[in-house]
Amino acid sequence: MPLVELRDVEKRYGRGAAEVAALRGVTMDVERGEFVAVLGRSGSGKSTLMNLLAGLDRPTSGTIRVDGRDLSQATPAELAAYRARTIGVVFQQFHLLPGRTAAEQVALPLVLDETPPGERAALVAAALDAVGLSRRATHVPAELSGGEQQRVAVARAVVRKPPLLLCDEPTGNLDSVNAEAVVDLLSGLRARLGCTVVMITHEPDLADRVASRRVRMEDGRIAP
Amino acid sequence: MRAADLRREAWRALRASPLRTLLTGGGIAVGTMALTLILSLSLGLTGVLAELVATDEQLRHLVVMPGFGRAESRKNGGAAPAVEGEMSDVKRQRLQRVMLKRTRGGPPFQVRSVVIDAETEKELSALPGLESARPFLQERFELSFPGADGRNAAPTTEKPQGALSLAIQADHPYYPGRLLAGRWFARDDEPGVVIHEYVLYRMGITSDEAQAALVGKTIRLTARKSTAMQQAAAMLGIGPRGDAPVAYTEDVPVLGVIRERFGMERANVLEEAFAMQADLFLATDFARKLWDRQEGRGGPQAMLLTAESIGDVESVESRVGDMGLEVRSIREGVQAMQTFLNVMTAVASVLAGIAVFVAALGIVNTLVMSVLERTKEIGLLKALGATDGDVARLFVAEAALLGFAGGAIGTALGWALSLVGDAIGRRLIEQAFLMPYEGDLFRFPAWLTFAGLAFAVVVACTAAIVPTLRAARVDPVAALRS
Repeated sequence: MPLVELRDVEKRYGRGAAEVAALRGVTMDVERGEFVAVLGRSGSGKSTLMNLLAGLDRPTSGTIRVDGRDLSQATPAELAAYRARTIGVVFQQFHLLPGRTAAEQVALPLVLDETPPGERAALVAAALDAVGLSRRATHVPAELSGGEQQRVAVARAVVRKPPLLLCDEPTGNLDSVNAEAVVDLLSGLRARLGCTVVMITHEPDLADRVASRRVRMEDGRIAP
Repeated sequence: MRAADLRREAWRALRASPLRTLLTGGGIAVGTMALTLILSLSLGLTGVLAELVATDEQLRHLVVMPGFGRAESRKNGGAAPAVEGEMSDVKRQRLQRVMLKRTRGGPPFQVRSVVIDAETEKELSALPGLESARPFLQERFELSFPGADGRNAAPTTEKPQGALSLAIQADHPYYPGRLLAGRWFARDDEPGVVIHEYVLYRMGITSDEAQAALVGKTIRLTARKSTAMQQAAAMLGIGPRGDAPVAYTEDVPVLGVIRERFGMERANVLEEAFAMQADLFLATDFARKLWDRQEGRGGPQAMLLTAESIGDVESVESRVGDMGLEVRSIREGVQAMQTFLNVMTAVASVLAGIAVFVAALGIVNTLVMSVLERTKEIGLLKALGATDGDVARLFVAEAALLGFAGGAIGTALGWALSLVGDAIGRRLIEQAFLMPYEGDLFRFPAWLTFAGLAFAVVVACTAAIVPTLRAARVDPVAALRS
């Protein structure tokens, strides 16, 4: 059974004349262990697809099943639990909280998940080690480079070892060297943790570098 | 989110804007301080009233004095006096009001004067609901210390010293505590006097040692012929005069020397009205024996009645009034004072409440600003798995922490200021009464500390409702895109 199943997923914003269709009947599967790169131009529906997969938004119609869970029917509490345990998210803008050390950033999902305090330090250390930032654990974002900040964000996304890692243009704010390093890191984590990665990107070269499958989106649809 | 994590996150958020936190917390502290201080003063004053005046014992006392015979009008159910002659109803009512008013002020026309004679005294003693009825006997004597040659042996004055005596029972709860030397009466018929240090001072016996040396010595009481009315007038220092014929002399031992009552010292409030001019004290039965040595005196100037319970006071008061006698108790005065205190506390609490309300608005403002500034953070927390409830709890915890800190500081300030207020109030009382005052004007019981803290936390959490709902409703997609 695929880890992710999307069936005729539609997402429309607004009403009447102002209605905009962001997704128009998207159907796709993502198998376990895949590294799927979703490509497409601005406004093609990539970010909407990402928000739906992350359980941050609901489809107007159609079904989304992740790890056997139907997200379109889930309650807000079930969606929160899904976000906490099933997925890890990496954003283009890193979204690190100012004033917190790298270790505290990585520990945040564990705090929300009510992981016992005694277990947190080991998990955080392992995650930081996985992204090669063990020695930067006590540094705040202002003391880290862009690439390091994104690696901290990746560590935060994988600290709970989620089966699905969602990356929304993770290299959008990085130079080419750091961008390659980050996608290589994601690829390595997929192999090491056995997780599935769905990465949105507008850089075909990066997609070719690490993705096991490329999906192109056009005008809210999966391009053939 | 675990409670410890919640506290840590709330503290981190407050620390992020130290000045804003300080100002908002300061507002809560000021409000809490004002409220606890006012409650502390109210508790203190109510306590003073309850302990010194409104005690069960004080409230059970009534003083009965000769009256103006309003028995008839009372028996008519307090009906308005008749106004004869041809006149308009308006004029008749106006005149009735004048007659009632003047009746209260002094002897009205067509009424008889009622004194406390032996029969009245007996009647009063037999009233139902009464524990005891004790006469106030005040008599004016001339004091001298008979020397071996029969002349006054007081050191500096040849002339005998005039002094007003008051009869007090041997088992009085307060007087023995004021003794400077010697002892109080062992029984009600014990011959002897307990003498005020002030009259000894007037006689030229000034030092404590000299006054104490008088204990056991004989003092001569010289009574001049007088009626009960003249003796009553003696209270005001207007008679009987030294030129009246001597009625009798009595040599008795000095049993003790007593001092004046301190300003707020425990006392029977009604009795003190009579005792404040007393120069010496006689045991009740012995005083009565001396009183009866002059003929035609009639009854005592006044009587102190003690009801069996506070519930009996009103009926006794009414019965005594029906006898045409003047009767006074501190019940109404205490009620008026208590009402005044309650009103004062309510008004002050409303003012303090306004301060707290303003502080609450400060919390609302702080949290709304916090929500606006942390929209992206809220979005991130939700993306990482926080529920709406988690986000709401985070902001409530922030408000509660702010309330707790502000409340703790405010309560501590209130407590500290209550000590300062107490010291100032005590000094003012001591300056006014020239006596030390040991009571508390401000009281700060443990429950007030907890109540102040709890109130601040509850107000803060209530103020957090709107910002919290706003935070919980933040759309993570929009927040992360912002």
